[in-house]
Amino acid sequence: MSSESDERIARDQVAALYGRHADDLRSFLTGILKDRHLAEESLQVVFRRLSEQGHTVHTEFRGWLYRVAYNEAMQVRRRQAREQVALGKAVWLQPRNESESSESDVIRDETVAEVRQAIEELPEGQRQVVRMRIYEDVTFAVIAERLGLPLGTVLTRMRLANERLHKALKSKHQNPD
Amino acid sequence: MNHFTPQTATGGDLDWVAFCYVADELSANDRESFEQRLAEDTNACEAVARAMRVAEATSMAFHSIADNSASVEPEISSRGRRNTRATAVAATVAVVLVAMLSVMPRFDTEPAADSAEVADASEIVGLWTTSQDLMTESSAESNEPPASEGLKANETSLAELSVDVPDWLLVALEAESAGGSEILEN
Repeated sequence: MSSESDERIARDQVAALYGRHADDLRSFLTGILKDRHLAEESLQVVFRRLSEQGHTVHTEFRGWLYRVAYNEAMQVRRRQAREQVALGKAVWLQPRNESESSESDVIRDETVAEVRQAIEELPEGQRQVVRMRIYEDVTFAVIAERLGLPLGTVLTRMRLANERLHKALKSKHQNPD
Repeated sequence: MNHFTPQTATGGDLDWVAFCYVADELSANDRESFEQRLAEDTNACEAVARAMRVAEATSMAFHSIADNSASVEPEISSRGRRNTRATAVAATVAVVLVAMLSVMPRFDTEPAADSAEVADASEIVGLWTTSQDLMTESSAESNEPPASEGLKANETSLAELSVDVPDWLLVALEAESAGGSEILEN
């Protein structure tokens, strides 16, 4: 007869899954919660659940982890809604947590350099919209007003630029389960 | 034309919806509908993760561009001042030159007879050479690429015009914008 601890998922496997999926899950949680600290706390909850319930998982871990992360994020958001936390500037402009350095600085520098290269290769009109939306945190509607452009043009420019920026990052993140 | 919704988007459309989601640019209904999808669609979850990574890396890249620009700004300012000074000197010399030519006797009709007129001519040639040198220097500097960022200044390509932005997104943003204005007016 096996004890409960024998049935649990092996620590090595948890560590391996953390190494493979933590960065993506953190980005996902940050995208939902718009707060780096809450996202980090939720990520810890997700992997605690994995070590407690991982042995019951019979599907692929990637999907399971995202579902647990999503449910945890929604719970956190419901709690936050009660406390009416005001959202400040865009989450990508918030300072990073110390614990987010799982991706080494060298890789991060390389990634930023590639994106910078892609930004420099964008047509001026697209680069201007990307700078205003992401770096200056101005909404699309306000960008259209300030530049005197139809909203559709602003969205089209951002979308085209977004596609190029995605391509620049694609090679960095091939993520098998 | 509207080809996709937050519920049905795939591929590049899904990446775009995910960006609008993390940027808080979806209407309340679209946000809710996309979040319902996130509950069961791992691909949509990954699109959100990708959108966040792209936005973060883009933000950091702009920070690094701004840092570089700040470090070379003093150099650009001093070069700009030098250019302005050189242009002003060259313009002054040109005005003096024109003024002197207009009051000077023409060589072909009245050859210079005394040494004073010859000296004037040498002086004018000297001034002309100086002004040419200054103009050349100024022009060479202004033709250099900006040191701050080697960004290409291509205008928006025609390809932009062929990309569809879904109607639901336009309507949502315009409604949000109008709502915002009403709030400001009230």
